[in-house]
Amino acid sequence: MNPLEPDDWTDREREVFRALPRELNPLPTLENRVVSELRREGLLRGSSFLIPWWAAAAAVLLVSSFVWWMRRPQIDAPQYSILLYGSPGYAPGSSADQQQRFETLRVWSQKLDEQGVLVTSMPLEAKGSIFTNDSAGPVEGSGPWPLRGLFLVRAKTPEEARALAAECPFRTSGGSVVLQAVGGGR
Amino acid sequence: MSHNERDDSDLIAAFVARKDEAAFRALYRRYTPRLYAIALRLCGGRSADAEDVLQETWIRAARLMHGYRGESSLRTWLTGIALHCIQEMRRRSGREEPLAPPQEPVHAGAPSIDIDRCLARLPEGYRAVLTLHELEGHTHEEIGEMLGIEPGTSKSQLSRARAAMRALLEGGRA
Repeated sequence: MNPLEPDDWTDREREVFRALPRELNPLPTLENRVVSELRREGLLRGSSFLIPWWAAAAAVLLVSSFVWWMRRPQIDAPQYSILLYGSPGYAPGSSADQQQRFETLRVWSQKLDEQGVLVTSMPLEAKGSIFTNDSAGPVEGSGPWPLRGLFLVRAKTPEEARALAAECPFRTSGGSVVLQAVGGGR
Repeated sequence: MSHNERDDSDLIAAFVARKDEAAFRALYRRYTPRLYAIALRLCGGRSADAEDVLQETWIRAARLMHGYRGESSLRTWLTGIALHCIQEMRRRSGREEPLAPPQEPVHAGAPSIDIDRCLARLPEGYRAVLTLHELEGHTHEEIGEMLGIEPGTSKSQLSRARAAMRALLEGGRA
């Protein structure tokens, strides 16, 4: 005979009941199913800070297109060279000064790239080799005005190219910035 | 204050007044795990049925939320709706699980799985009162209200449910 009354649980049975999980999670997709149904019924208006996915995607596309348009390469525009010369007023400065100047030019180059007008840019070493017809071989040197760097940019008009060259930070070193259009209809 | 920290009445007010989706989602996330556990047990472990019940429960709750006055806790109110949904589902499907002894030892594996397996073998009425009383801690008055029966009926059902449960558990040990 079972000594227990039907209403009594044994300790073991109580323990087993206590161990049962009181909370279980359905599939996460159920929440959106419910919300979609409520929206369909007009019982939900949508949160003010929850943007529908299609609106977010459209906004991203719009912004991306605008950024691309602003930065688009001006492939049909003529090319200009901006040449940086160590002309007589040029002061190379200390190693730290040169490093600072290089960094300033790198930032300017990045800005031109972001504007979509930069074709290429590069720094040049101070010393090179001079080749002429009347010497037996090349002579080490860099000519009267050593070329220290160059930029190749695109600009729709000569005025636009001049405006770009005028902004070149190399001038602050005392050097000269020379703007020349690339020949041959480029 | 985030939606998760707001109390039920604030969230209900935001949902009813502004159809605020974030408030509804906060309520859903707060109560669904508990409701789903009940539904899953009362549906005999059939997760697809339990999810259908949950979906219907929340839709009905959303329709009726403006009339909720807080006479019972929101959990009890929602549980009552879920129980009605389960009863309707059973009526529609004509599904009835027979009382049958388990064929394999019930204490061989994890206790929670074993007891859930036994629960699933109980007749629906027994399963309901056992789940609501032993697991959810509802009183016989609350159970009576939710199931549409007298509290005394709930009490006697529970007594018989316990006996049936014990028979199933002991049958599994044999």
